[in-house]
Amino acid sequence: MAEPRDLTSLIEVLLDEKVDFVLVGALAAVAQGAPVTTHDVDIVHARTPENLDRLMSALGKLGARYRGRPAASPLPADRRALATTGHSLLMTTLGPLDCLGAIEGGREYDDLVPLSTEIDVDGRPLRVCGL
Amino acid sequence: MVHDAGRRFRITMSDGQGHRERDEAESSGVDVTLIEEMLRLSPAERLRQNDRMAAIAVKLRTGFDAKRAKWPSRGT
Repeated sequence: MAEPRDLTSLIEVLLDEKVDFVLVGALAAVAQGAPVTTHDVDIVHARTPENLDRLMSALGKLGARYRGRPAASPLPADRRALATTGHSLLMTTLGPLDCLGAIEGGREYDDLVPLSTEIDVDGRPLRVCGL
Repeated sequence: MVHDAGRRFRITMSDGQGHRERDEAESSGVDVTLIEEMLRLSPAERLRQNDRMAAIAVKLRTGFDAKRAKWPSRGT
């Protein structure tokens, strides 16, 4: 049985929880008009303690667990891992979500904000990495 | 802003140089009409369209996997 995909709602949960993040990867390109299709959400999140609290709250609502684990022993999202520059590759009830502490070149949230654009998603601002 | 980028794109495509750029893009296999179609949508509509397209892709893959499971094993 294929996992459900509702990536728009997944992003809305992050926005509802006021998580500071920059949307990167293929979905950022889609949001800016690229005619491609993608199956996951990639974000670079701010790693401040307050934002990690908000991210963990959102991930709890999304039932996030690490991908590639046996269904019998799911591993929920780990705050300590999210506080590093590493990549947490998660599956949620709304689809796959990759939470990236940093991307190529060691660029973190604070580095990406000046390179990003804020777009409007049903009245809510969504920060996407520029093309 | 993204909407501005879309407007700039359409303006560029409507002038003489834009026609050359369009020809170049199309000769490289880029379907400019798909890009134009995407740029007509709002960002939220683009995200929802991606969800719909991804759902279709999953359905097709599921159907293909089911069909492939019925193929006789070739053996090695």
